[in-house]
Amino acid sequence: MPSANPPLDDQLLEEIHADQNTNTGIENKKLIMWLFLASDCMFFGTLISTHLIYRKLYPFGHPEEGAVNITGTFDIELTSFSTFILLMSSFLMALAVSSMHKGAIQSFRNYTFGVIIFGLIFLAGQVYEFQHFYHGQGWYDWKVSSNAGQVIVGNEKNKLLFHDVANTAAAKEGFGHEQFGLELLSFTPAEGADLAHPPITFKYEVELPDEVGNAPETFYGEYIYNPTDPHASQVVVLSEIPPPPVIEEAKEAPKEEASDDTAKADSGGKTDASEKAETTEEAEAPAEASETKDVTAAQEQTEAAEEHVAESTEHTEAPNEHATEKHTEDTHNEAHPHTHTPAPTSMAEVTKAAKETFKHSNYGFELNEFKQVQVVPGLDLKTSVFGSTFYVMTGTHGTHVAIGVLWLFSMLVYSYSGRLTPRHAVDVEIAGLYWHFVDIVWIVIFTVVYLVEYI
Amino acid sequence: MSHATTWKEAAILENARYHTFFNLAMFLAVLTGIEIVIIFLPWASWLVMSMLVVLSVIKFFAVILWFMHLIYDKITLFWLFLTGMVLATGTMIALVALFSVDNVDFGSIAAVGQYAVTALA
Repeated sequence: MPSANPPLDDQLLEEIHADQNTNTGIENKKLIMWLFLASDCMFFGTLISTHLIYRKLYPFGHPEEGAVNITGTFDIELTSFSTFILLMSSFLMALAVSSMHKGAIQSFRNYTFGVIIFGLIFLAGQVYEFQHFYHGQGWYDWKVSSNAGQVIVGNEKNKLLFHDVANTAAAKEGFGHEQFGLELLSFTPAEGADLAHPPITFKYEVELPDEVGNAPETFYGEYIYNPTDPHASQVVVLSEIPPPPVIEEAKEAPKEEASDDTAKADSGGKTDASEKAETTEEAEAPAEASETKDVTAAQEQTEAAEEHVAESTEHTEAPNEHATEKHTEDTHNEAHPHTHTPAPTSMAEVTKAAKETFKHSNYGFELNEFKQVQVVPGLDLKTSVFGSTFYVMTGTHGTHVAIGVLWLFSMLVYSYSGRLTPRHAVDVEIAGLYWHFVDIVWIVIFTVVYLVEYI
Repeated sequence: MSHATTWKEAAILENARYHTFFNLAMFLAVLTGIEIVIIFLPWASWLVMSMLVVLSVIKFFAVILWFMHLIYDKITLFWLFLTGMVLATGTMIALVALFSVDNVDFGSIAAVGQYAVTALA
């Protein structure tokens, strides 16, 4: 709070500026900091020029499949935000230095705290950005079907951060873990559900992911839960889900999305679906689709579901890890028919257990197809020269920011412990010079490394 | 600070810098916004590139002159930093130029050489 600052004091102000009478008329600390910054200019100059040279000699991409425009990897919105944050931190730093020159230590603390926060936001942005760059991006067409034959098709720009999303197998596993993007909206016991008379029927509503090509926003149905043998429970989809559009239309959506990026990114990403395609199961897609057209009555769907569930123990191909676990447990239950799960005692417990089992069964849906339509390869230090120079350069800058944050944090702590007072204004000034330098280096990197790639 | 006769007056002048710094920060934010917008405009690449370079140089000097107090400090510091800057920029230009020789049209150079040889003979 500025009001907490002491009034201006002539004697103190004299002491703050008493160190100026050197041979050059410049404080030695300030002189040496400017010398250091001048040498650091050359350091960053070589790093930036090395990147500019190697990005041209060894374009980013895959050795066998050609160059890929880096703008497919970059996230200009995030980088622009980081740039703005760093710029504003420079403004606060200038105010912090100015405050210390006036002996206004409380204002110095406030502004320095702001600079530290902004510096940390910048670093967090860089960590987030690097993780995205490292893992790459993938676009996938998928098809899932319910046990009653309803089919949902869609496409997914896989954004799972901690998975290698450019890798189809990893992305597919992640997609399965996320229940194909399906979200359970409600799950309640049906009217007349009675613990004493299992199986117990629950009503549910599930929301579909945004990318689906055919289905309504939500669908509903019944989950017939068997408390003593949860894996023998049945899922019945009562909603009428229209059959998916013809295959060409289903594939149109991801291509449009891809072409948007491609237009921006020139040759951004490879769009060869046939080479990269990985079909998990040769599903009975056309047959199911045509069947679905005829299935309009909920009763018919229920019958189909029951038939399917009856056969589910023979089902051997699991769509994902959960399903694999499920199958293993099914087999286990068959081998030991008497080792049933102990029956829960209250409806709340049963609902919770049933919900969990329902979720693990992917709401009764199975993944039939998961096909890669476009991929932006991950950018890393080892497999790409672009990545090596990019990470070394931006990483060195990030290290400078991290050092600056630590420096300012130590000053903030010392200002509270009394080791940093307005008499040390020149120390704050040189820390400020360092911080502004970090900002000007980013001004150059932002333009020369990021923006230029979009031209 | 040249207008202040005491440090107290100088401190009061320092207050006025708040507005300078605020205006400068807003100006820099606007320049950054312009930079981001022009890369998506369907303009000639040489024009966009030139604008980016000019805007970056303006931002660079705005920060070092005002935020880093070079405009208020001794001129020695400006020349000191500029020496490092010139060396760094010179190194960058030299390196980029050296590694851009693959763009040179050796055919036309050979033709000029051939013409010179013929003319001399």
